[in-house]
Amino acid sequence: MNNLSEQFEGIYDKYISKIYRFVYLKVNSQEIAEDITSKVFMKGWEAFQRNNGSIENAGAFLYRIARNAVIDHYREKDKNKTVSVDNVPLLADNGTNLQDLAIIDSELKAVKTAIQSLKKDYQDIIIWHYLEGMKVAEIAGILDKPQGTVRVMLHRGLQTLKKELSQVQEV
Amino acid sequence: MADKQIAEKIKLLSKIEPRREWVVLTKNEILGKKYEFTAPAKNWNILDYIPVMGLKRQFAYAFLTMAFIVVGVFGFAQRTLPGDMLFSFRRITEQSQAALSGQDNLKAGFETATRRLQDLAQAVKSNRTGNIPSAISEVKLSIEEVTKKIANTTDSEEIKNIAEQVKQIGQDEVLANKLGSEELKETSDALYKALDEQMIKEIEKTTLTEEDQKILEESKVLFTEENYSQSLEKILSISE
Repeated sequence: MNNLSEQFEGIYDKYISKIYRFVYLKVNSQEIAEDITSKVFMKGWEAFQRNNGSIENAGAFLYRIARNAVIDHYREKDKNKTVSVDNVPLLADNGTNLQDLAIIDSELKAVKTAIQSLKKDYQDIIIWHYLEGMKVAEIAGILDKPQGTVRVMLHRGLQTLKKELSQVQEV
Repeated sequence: MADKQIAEKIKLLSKIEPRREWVVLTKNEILGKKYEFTAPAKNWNILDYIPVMGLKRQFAYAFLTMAFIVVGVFGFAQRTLPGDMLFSFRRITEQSQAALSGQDNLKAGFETATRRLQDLAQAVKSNRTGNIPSAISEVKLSIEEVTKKIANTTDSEEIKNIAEQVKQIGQDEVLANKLGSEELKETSDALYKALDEQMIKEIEKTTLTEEDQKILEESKVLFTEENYSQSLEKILSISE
């Protein structure tokens, strides 16, 4: 058990910031991002123990859990609000938490807003490829889609983001 | 906008990081399950270990009262500003959190300086004139600490992070005015100078385009003219 714990600790250290960042960009609230991310790693640890530490690609595995956790979060919210799951900015947390205080640069804010206005599939791919440096093959593995499809989505996502950024900057 | 430019903009989002304390606490919570112990068969009570019958209840009440007072004081102290009576409790909490999270010295020092700057900004914006002199002293002390650490560090990534955050802080009108004031100009200049020196040293190790080389030379001229904040802005435009 100690060995498993040490192995998972290494995985935790490697992916905690990445998973947190991924979740935060989708939920736009430090508190909610922390809550969801800790659930992701809790589930990850349980699965890791069940499989006796034999998980092929820990990153892909954690991202899948994170993606589903965010979807579940918005399904819960949808029960109470009548806002579309894709419409993240309307559900944005406008509190003055430390994370928001760190993001005071207007350019960074513009990029964040533009990414959050994308469809969720495009959001994920853009974040994974451009922000976390993941290769197309790895992303295709997470989404269980062909690499060609991922490349097309990447291109479309980037073009949509370009358009959003130009609109944000015009304002 | 070119694809490369957009990719560079997206990379800005890598500044989003989780809170260090939360990372450590969450890890302990998840992996700390291995430390679970089975509860003893008997329902034990701390009062069982106090031999004198008559004092048990008094001790319990006194202890609980003290615990509530301490928790209350520390909780309330989080909202205090420099110059307030309970500010020292807040400082103790911050230092404990930094020690617990195992943050490295420079990063922790800069976070403290940022908090002191936020305190100063709050004191000015909410017109708490009684707190401003203490807030300024605290800012001065914390920035001087950071400046010393910058001169002794080899962590170029952390230096760059700090330089970018200092640039952003300089864009806040209230803080920019205060940092340029008589009480803080020398301290803030020393910080900018230390950052400039480290950044120039790092950039000179890299291969630069002709344009970047030109910007570096301009930055060095500004440095010799003691325009440290403008020199830093130039250097940051190269490393983006």
